[in-house]
Amino acid sequence: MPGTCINPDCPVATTQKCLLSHVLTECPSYRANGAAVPPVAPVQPETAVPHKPANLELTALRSWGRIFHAGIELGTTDAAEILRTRYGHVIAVLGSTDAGKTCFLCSLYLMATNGDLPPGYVFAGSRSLQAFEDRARGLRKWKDGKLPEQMVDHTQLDDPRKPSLLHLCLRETGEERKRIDLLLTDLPGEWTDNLVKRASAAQSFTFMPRADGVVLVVDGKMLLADASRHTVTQEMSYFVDRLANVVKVNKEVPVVLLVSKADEIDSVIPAAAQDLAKESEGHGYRVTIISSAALSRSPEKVRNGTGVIEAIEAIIHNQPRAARELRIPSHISERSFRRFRG
Amino acid sequence: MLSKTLEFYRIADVSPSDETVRKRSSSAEILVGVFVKTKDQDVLLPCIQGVVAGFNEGHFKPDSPVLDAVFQPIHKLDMTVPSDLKENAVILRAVAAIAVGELLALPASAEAEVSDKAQLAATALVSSLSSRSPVAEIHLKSILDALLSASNAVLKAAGDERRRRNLDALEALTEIQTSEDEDADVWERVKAAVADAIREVHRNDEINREELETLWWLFARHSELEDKPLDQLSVGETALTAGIELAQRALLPPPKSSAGIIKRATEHGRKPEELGSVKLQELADSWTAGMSAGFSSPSPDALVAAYPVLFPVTATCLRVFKDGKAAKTMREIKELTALSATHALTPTQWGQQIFREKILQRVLADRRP
Repeated sequence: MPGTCINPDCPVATTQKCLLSHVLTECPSYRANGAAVPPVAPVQPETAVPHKPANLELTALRSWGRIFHAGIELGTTDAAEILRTRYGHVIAVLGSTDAGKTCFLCSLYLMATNGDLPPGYVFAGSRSLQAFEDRARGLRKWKDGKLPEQMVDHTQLDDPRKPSLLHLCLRETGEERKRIDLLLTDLPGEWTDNLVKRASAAQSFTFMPRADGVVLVVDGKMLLADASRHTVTQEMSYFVDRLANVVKVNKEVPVVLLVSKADEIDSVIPAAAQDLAKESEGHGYRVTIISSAALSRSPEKVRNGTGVIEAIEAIIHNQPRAARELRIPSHISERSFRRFRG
Repeated sequence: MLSKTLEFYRIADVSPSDETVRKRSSSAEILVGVFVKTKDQDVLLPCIQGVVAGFNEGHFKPDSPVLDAVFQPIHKLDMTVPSDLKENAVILRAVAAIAVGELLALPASAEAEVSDKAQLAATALVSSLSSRSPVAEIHLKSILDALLSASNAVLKAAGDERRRRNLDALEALTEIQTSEDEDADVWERVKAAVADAIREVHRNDEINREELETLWWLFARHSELEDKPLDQLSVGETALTAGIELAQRALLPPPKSSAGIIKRATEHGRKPEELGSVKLQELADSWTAGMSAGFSSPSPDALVAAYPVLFPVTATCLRVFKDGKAAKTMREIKELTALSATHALTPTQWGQQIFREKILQRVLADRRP
């Protein structure tokens, strides 16, 4: 009968083989599907060792030493390991295909690895270095002294129904030396396009209620071009509408409208971006427009990484709205003393 | 707030499974039972500190009994939860928040012990959270907002009930009718009804006295702690003394109008430039020995040592009063109270905060055996 194991490293769910070579029916960590969770009871010692701890098998597993993460993208279960330790900022990086989402992530990673983070921040670790490195690899393929037209590969997920998260930890260099754990989504543009087309695609966005912020990446070139700006604006308006009304993203969540490829449009903020921001504000969101050149094609004019940290800061330093004051209807008290408000 | 388990638990898990939500909900339910059965200082109050400032912020040693009290109900239902505080601090915070919320959500008609615990939790949360800046972490903020809102509702309902004048006992007394066949016990019934009526009169008198005492204090504008007219005190001293002295006069839980009375006492006759924002470390200069004496039984030192997060202003003022304002002291204060000494509010707002802290101290003193 298929089942699961309380040891997260045990492959029994897929292989039906116990990590500790137990017979499944006798393994204390194995749970047959549908079986009730047994009450906590001291594990019967296999040998005559007195005062053996209750969670014997977990203790034994831990004694093997630390288990290292492979550094690839994190699933939501892997992310929980980070979140249960410290508060983590989950940032949804969304946008259509080729808008510049992965470039945004690569830029952040390259700034961190190159020591180019703005003053006030230092790199403090990552559980997905390999995943970042895989994405940045394309940037190292130069042709005729120029960057390739397509800088990074299109995002493809191992499991096309589940989001992958990239982890990056920054530390503030101020007196508090506060750690900031960022969990950034890297989703294929098709997810955004699909949600625009049909509301049923919202089921892929089940992680969104936990998002601390949304970076909505829009292609600056397309927003500026006469041929495409109306289409892009309309599609993104539909997308924000879906986020608000179908995915039900909390209105407290800050939205950054990241106008990408600023290096190719002279860092102009297109008027269409302002329209889109107004549209989003109409749904109750607070929107910050940021012009970005994640990987600049003309770094002498527009610095690499422009707007990247600003977008992160707009989310992590978000000034939330004050809690609403408890409203006290005046008819509650008949006494002037209790109605006095100074 | 078992109904909000999913929302609260999201701080520890992006998309918790249904099974996880059920287990954490059950753990929180067990923890509510622990709150009710144990002494306040053992579990409930330290838990509230953990919810407000986090379980890994230097307020808890790894072997602290409260950590065990929160961890055990979770571990009992889910053995995969790590036991090391470095790996489970956010889980503990989320489950503790759910349990504290559930305690606040229990109906006021619950048994007296539960209702008292809920009022204590509400008073502690209001004292601890009301003067802090909203946290930037959105999901944490929504948890703290929900708890603060529930606390305000609990205190408002309890305050209204405490000040409800009634004549129920008197009416019951007048309705007693005698008949010849029950002469034997009529006097017993009359005696009981008279006793109830006298208690009712006394209770109504307490409500009137609270109003009179407060209004005369406001009219006299004289600080008993400093034995000076309020006009001769600095605006910071006035705010602090007003907060403490009015808290001494209020019935518990206090009325909402207390905030307005402190505002009137602090701002009356002051120039607008005196009423601008003041940093906590500057306000602490206005603290006096008389104010420390206003926090007696338990002593302010004991309070601050045990619950610095619940008494952030008292803790800061006492420490600055004793040790001055060296940078190291300021850092230690922030670690203890989770409130920066550079946090700025108007004198009136500081006065309202010290009022909330003094009220919490009175609630704790009332509950001591």
